[in-house]
Amino acid sequence: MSTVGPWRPDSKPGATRSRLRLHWPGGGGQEGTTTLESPAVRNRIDLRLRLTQAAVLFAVTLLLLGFWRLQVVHAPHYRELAENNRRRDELVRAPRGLITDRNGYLLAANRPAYNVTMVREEVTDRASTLDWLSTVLNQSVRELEDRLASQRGIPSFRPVVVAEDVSMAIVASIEARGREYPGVLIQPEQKRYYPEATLAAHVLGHVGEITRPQLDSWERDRFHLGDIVGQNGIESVHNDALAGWAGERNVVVNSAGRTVRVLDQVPPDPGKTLVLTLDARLQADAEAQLADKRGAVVVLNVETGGVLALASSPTFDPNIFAARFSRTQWESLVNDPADPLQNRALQSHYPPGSIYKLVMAVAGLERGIINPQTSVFCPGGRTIYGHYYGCLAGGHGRVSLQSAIGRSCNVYFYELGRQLGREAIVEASQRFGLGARTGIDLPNEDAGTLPTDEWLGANRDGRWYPGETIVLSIGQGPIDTTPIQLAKIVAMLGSGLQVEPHLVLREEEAAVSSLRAGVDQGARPSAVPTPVQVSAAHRHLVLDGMWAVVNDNGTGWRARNPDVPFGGKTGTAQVASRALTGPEEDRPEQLRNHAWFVGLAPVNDPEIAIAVLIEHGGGGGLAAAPVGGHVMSTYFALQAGTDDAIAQSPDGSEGESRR
Amino acid sequence: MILFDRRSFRAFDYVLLSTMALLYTLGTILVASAGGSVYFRKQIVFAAVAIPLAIAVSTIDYRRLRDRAYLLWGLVALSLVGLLFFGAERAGARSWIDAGPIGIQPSELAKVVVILAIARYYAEGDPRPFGLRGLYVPGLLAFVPFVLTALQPDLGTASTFIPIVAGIAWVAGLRISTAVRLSLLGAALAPLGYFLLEDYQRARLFTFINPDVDPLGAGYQIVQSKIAVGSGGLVGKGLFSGSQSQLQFLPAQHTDLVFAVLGEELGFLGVAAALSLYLLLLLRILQIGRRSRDRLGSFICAGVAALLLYHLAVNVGMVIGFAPITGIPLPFLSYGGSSALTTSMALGLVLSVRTRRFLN
Repeated sequence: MSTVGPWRPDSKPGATRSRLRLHWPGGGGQEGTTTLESPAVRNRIDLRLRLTQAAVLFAVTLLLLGFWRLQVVHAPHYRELAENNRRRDELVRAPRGLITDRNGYLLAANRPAYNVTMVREEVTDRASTLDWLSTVLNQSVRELEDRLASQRGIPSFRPVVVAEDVSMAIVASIEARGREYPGVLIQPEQKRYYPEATLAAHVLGHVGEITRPQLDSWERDRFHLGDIVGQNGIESVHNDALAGWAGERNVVVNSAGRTVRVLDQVPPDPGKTLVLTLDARLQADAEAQLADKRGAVVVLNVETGGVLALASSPTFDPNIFAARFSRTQWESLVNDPADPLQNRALQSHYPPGSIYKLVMAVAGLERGIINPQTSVFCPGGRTIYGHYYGCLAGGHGRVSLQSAIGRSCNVYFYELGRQLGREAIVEASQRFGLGARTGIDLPNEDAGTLPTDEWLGANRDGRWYPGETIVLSIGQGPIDTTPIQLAKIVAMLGSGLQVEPHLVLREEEAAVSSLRAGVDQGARPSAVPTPVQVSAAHRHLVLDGMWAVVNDNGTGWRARNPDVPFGGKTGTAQVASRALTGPEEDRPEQLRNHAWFVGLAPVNDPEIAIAVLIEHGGGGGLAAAPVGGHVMSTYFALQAGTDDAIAQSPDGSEGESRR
Repeated sequence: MILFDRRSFRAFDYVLLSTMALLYTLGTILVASAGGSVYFRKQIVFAAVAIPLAIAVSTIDYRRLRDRAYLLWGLVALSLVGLLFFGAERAGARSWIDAGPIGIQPSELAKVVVILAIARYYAEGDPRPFGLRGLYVPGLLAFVPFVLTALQPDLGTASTFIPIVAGIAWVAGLRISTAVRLSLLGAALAPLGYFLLEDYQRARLFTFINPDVDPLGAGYQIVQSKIAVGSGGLVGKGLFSGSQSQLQFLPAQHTDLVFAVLGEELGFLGVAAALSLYLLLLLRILQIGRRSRDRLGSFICAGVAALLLYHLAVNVGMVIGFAPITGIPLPFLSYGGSSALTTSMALGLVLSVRTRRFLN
C-alpha cells in the first residue's frame, strides 16, 4: 500500500508477481491469477463493498425523506393542485324558449348542432393543431386565427368556438384524431332553428352572438361571451323571457380537456315558450299574397289588438343568422337594394292617401261639420284658394258621406278639410294614434309624420299654407303612416276600443305538455279596454262607408266576399306628380304610386282589421284590395273549417281553396 | 439442465430472485394502471421472460464470460458505430436495431459488457490501491460506448457508463484522494459541459432548478409528477384511481414516470415498500460481492449495483424533483423490454457469482 508507482495490470512478471502468488484460503488455487488474493486485498474490497452498502442505505433513505416531505408534509397542498388540475366549472347554456303561433304551431325551435371548440390552455402545439383543423374543416388558418382572435376575452381554460354546426363527418374525424391534438373538442350545442324558414321572419327576427355593448349593459352574471341572443324581432324584444338562465356544472377533465365525468351540476333554467297571437296559416296566406311584390300586410284582432298576421316582403330566412360566422350570407341581405330585412309593416312609412279619408270623416262628424245627409257635388275637381284640385275624371256627381267614402271622392273631402282646418284634422289623427308608435313589441318602429304644431315648428318654422290642408285631406302632403298604424285605426273604428297591437298571446313554462289549439282570442295587454273618444253612431256611419267601398259599387269591390260582409277602404299614395310623369301605367316602377287597402270584417260585427300596402303597386283598388280580400277570406275559411283540417300546413293555398 | 444439480439449487439466491419477482409484479400492475391493457400484456411477457433469462445467465460461469469480455466489448462497440449509420430512429434517437418484431438496443447490452470488461481488467491487475493511472484503460472501455451512445443522441443511457466505471474502480481500490480530486474536477467542469448540451437538454436542466418558471412547457413533467406524488398522501388514491395518471396529466407515465404513478396510487406506504425492495436488492447484490470467491465476482457485483443504484436514484429522484428529467427508466417498474433484458443479464451475472461460490 505504501508504494506509489506506475501501475500496470498483469504486466511484469517478477518480484511483484511472485509476491502475489499467495494462496487464498477460501478459493481453489487451480483457477488462476484471479483467485490469488491476499486477505489484505480481500479485506479492503470487503470494506469498500460495505461502504457501498452504507451509501446505498443513505441514498434510499434520502429518497424516502424526499417522498415523506412531498406525500406527508405537503400532501394537502398537492392534493389541492391535483383537484385544480382535474376539476373545472363549465357553463351549461339554457335551451332557448320556443316560439309558436296561437295554435301551438312551431315557428322557432332548437336543434342539436356540433361545434368544434378549442381550449387554448390545453393546446400543446398551436401551429400544427391549426394546420390540422384547417385541413379537416377546409378553412384557411387565417380564418381560424381570426375567429380565435375575436374571442380573446374568454378565459383560456374555457372552450372557444372554432367552427360551428359541422357535419358528422367532421365530428368523426376530429374525434378519431383528437388524442393527438389535445385541447380540440367537439361540443354539442342547441342551435336556433326556424322550421318554416321565411315564415313570419320579420316578426320572429333572428338570433346572433351577443355583442360587446349588450354584454356590458345587460344583466351581469346572466349573459356570457359567446351566448346566442335575440338580435331582432320577437327574439330580441322578448329575449328576457326566451333566454332562460344558464346552469353550471363541475366536471372532471383529463389532460386533453375532455370531460370525463360530471361531479355536480346546477341545471339551466330553460327559456319560456312564447305563444304568439299570430295564426301561422293566415300568416302564410298573407306572405303568399305578397310574393314577388314589395309591401306589407297586417291583420289585427279588433278587440284585443293581437296581431294575427304581419307580413313584409321581400323576406329572408332567419336561419342564416343563427350561425356565428356566416357573415357573407347576411351581408348580401344587408346590401340587397330590395332591403329584405326591412319590416315594411312598421319600419317604413308611406303617405296614407285616401285611407286618411276615414279619419277625416270621423273628424267632420265629431265636429258637426258633416252629417249623413250632407252632400257635395263632384264635377271631377274643385278650385280652392285659386288652385285646382283634381278628382275622378268626369266626376262623381252628388255624393253623400257613404258614397264619398265608397267611391273615394276627393272633392267631398277637400271641402271637409277646408272647413276643418289643420288643427282639427291633426287632433282627430292623434286620437287614432297617428304620428306616434303603436307600441307593438317589435324593434325600430317608425312613428310616421303628422303636421302637428311641434312638427311644423321643427321642420317648417311654423309655416303652413291653406292649400296644404286641402292636400292633407286626401292623405297627401306632410303626412306619413305605417301599415300597422292604419290597421290600428281600422281596428279602433271597428271595435270602438283603444287597440294596442301586440304579438305575444302568453308565456308558458318550458315544459310544454301539449299546446292546445286555442279558441282564446288573445289577452289584452291592459286589463280594462279603453273606449275610443269617438261616438258609436259616428263610427257606424264610417263603417257604412267602408261597407260601400267593397259592396256598393265602390273602389274596393275586388275585395268582396259573397258570404261575409267586408268593409274596406282603398288608397293610392302618390309617389310622383301626374303632371310631371304622365299617366300611372306609363311610369317606371319606382315612380308608380303605392297601393293601399284597409279592411274590416265582418263589417257589421267586426272581428279583424287589415292593412295592405303594395309599394309602387299602382292603384289601391287594383293592386291592394284583392290581397286584402283574399287574406280576410282566408281568415273566415279558417274559422269555418275545423282547425285540424288546415293546421297541418300553413300554406297560402288553403285559404284560396276554401274561398 | 446438467448444471442444475442439487448444489446449484441450494446455491441459488432465492432472496434475490423473489425480490426480482416482487418488483416485476408491482411493475406489471403499475404499467396496467398507467398504460392500459396493451402495455400490460406486453409487460407480462417481458417480466415472464426476464426471470428465466436471469436464471439462464446465472448457469453460465462468469469466468468463462470473462475470457470473452474484450471480444464482446469489441462487438458491441462495432454495433454502436454501425447504429450511427444504419440504426432505426425511435423517439428521436438512433438507438435501435430493428430485428423484426423485437428491437434490440445495443447500448443496453453495452452496459453489461462494459461491466464485464472493466471487472476483468481490474481482476487481472495489481490488487494494490491505484490512482489516476489505474483509470486509463477502464476509462477508455467506458468512454467509447459513452461517446457512441451520446451521439445517437441518448445522453441518459450514455451517462450510465460513468457510475459503472466509478463503482468498479472504487471497489477495486481507487485511492480516496484520487476519487475526491476527480469529483472536484467533475464539479468544476460541469458548467463547461453545459455548453455541449442541446437546447432541450438545457431547458430540462433549467426547469429542474426552477420548474415553476414554465409549468406548462418544459417544467410540465416535473410539476405534474410532483403533484401526482404529493397528492397521493400517506396511503395513496388506490390502484387505477390516481386522477393525475388516469386522466393522463403525467407524460410518459408508464415508462419514465411510472414511479410517480406508484406514489399517487399507493401513497408513501407503497413508495416505502418499493424502495425497501430496491434497498434489499442492492444490499444483497453487494453482499454477494463481499462473499465472492474471487475479485472478478466482487467487481461484477459492484458494477451491477452501481448501475442499478444510478438508475434508481436518477429515475426516482426525477419523480420528486431531486434530479433533472432524463430518459432513464426504472428497472423492473418501467415498461420496456430492452431495459428488462439488461437488468436480467446483469442480475444473472450476480447470481452466477453467488452460485459459483458453492460450486466447483
